[in-house]
Amino acid sequence: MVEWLTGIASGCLLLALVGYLLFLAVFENGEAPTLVLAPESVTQTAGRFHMRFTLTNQGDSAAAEVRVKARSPEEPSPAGEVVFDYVPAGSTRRGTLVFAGDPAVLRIALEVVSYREP
Amino acid sequence: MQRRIRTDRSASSARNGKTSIGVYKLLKDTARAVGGALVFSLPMLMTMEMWSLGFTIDRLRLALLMVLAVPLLTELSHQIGYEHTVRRTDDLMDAMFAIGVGGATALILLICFGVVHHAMPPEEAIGKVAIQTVPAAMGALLARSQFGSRSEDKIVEKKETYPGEMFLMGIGALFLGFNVAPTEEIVLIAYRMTPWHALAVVALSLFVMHGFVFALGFRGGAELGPDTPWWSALVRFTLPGYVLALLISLYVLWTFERTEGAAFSQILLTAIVLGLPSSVGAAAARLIL
Repeated sequence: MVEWLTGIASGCLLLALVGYLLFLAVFENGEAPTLVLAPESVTQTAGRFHMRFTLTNQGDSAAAEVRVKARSPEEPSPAGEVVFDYVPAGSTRRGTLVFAGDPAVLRIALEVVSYREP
Repeated sequence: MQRRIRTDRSASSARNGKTSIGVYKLLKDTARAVGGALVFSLPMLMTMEMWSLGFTIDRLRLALLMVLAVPLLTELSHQIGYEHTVRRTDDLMDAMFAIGVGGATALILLICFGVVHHAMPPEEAIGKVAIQTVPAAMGALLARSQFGSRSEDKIVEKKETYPGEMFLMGIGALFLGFNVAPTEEIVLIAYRMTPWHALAVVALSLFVMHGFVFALGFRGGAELGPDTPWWSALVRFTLPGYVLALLISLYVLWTFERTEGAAFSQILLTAIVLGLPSSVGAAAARLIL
């Protein structure tokens, strides 16, 4: 009796799983990764400014080796970069860039410069 | 007088014989346990991701894993024990012995590989050894059933119960899942998959599992005989076994922090990928254990 109840409950769970996968298969058509950057906070540690940010993939497919660069109109040279190994669909990753000056004064802007398909 | 000395001497030599038999048995048991720990944990001891997990893993999750290992190994010792009326305290002692042997084996090998060294903060060294201890302890405990029985003269066929069968499936899933979960490839495969691929993996896992269930003639409350219809075994063993394998995959992924910041669908896909080896481990547990 216990065996049948466990079996039927497991069967229902698996049906739900298969249903969900079918839903994903039909309604998500693997469009390109949509990478959104959002600065989180700036903290000053040991005389350097640490700028924390989040990178969210709002698309339907994963991106690999996502390169995030900081640019400042005050300084012509690139201010720094972070590479994320993988940013899967719907996932959020965190990173930090470190600057000598205050990012607000330097008018730092972050941008995704490249990624590849995993 | 002469005779009395002789009896004394023979009594003391008998006593010596008894202790040497005890020492011999302990040595043999330890050697067997170390052998089992090596067979089960060498793949993980030589995996780079496991080393870095040693210091990146959340301490609470690592502690939970260590705490859960004690009842798990105790129950495993009970399940694979040959003596029918083995005491719970004996099982607990067996589990502790296995954890000790597993930890020592992991420590010695990690030192030999230069992964753990004196210039390392103790936290890091402890984390690296602790995460390897659980699979090594499982191997140490299983060695008894793998490399011959503890007391060959007392083999009594144990009565198989349904929860017992499910428990062994869970151990099998945990073992194989643990082996592959730390690798980068598991998440990478999930990234590359579409939901259609995932559906195929689910179907394949169920098919392979049912093959094992069928071939090994699973026991439980009711034996599976040639007259049992295939769907009966499917509903009673394969489906719960697969759900168990998926849940254990989720737990292992959570422990190894593979679910951090990931979307629900992504976690599910990763669990399905890890579910394939886990379900094979679950179904083959009867064969291995």
